[in-house]
Amino acid sequence: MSRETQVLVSDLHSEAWWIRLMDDEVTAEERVRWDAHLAHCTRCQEEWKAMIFADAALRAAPAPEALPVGFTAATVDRIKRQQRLRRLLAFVAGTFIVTLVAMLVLALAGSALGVVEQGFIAVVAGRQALFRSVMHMVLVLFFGWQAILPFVLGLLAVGYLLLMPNGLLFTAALIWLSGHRRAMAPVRS
Amino acid sequence: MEQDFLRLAQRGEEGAINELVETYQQSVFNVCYRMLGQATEAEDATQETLVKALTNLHSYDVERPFKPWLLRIASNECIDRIRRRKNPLSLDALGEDGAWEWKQGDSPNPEAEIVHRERRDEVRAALDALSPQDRAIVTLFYWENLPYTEIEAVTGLSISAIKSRLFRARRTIAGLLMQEDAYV
Repeated sequence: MSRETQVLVSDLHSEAWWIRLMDDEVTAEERVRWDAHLAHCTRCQEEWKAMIFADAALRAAPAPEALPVGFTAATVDRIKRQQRLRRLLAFVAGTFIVTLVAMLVLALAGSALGVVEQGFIAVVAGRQALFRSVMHMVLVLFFGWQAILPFVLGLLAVGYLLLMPNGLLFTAALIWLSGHRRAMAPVRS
Repeated sequence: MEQDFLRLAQRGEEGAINELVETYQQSVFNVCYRMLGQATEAEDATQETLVKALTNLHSYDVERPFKPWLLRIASNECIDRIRRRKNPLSLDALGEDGAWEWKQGDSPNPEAEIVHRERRDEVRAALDALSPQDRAIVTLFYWENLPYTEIEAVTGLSISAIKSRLFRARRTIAGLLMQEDAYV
């Protein structure tokens, strides 16, 4: 067998060649070469016969029976139930997520509002405390004036004694001034 | 037209959902039946596939072809079921009391019916010898007549990988069928 023929036979026994042969993708020239090879290669004859038999058996295999009556309705019914269940689950999951997010937002907002409210309360409470203390002082002065009356009278008396024309301070000032005039007068000869 | 139905179904329109189920249920059942080999389980898998697909339509791009997307869900469902199987016993052959029973066919020609069943069982047995993914490829190629590009969309494999897997699956099936034939 020549070298060229050996290469050819090797090609004709390859899987790639058989795939092309089964798919009927060989050229006319290749087909002639194949027929010539098949005429004397027992191995290929047996394999070719088996492949053709298998191909025919597979193509002629009886078709499965038809689906039972009511299959379509039962399937559509199951699909509808499944879709309803999915929608329900999606709704529940959506509601859960929205509730969770809302709670988180409310918690954060509540915390921020709490700080503002505390400041507001402090301002209001401070003003209220100031108002209360002022009112308390007014009331104490109004109802307890007798308690401070001696001090007021004492203060007025001291002021009178010091500041009136015949008061102590004025008299002392006149004495000091006359003494000072005498001392400053020129010496008479 | 189909895209309109798909858009309506995405909005939950019952009429559109009904139309899509009616249009594709037999194709899905054919794939499930070929892959699972049991009518009862194939019906369950078909319903499961349609429910999964039509309740998840929001994740589907309406501009893309619907059938490969649907068959991809179907073949994944079947592959999962095959992998989950612990007991390969077929419940289809069991009677109400759980005992094996002979099911009488409704064919007017009992001999033809027997030949029909034998051929189906031979192909069934040959398919069972394949991996779940190879079974899906053979099913889509032979019985759904999908081109390689659509099988690629369904399985997620490259076209060269699909061709190679299909060839090896055919070779395995050929070996098994020829063996059966030799005994007969």
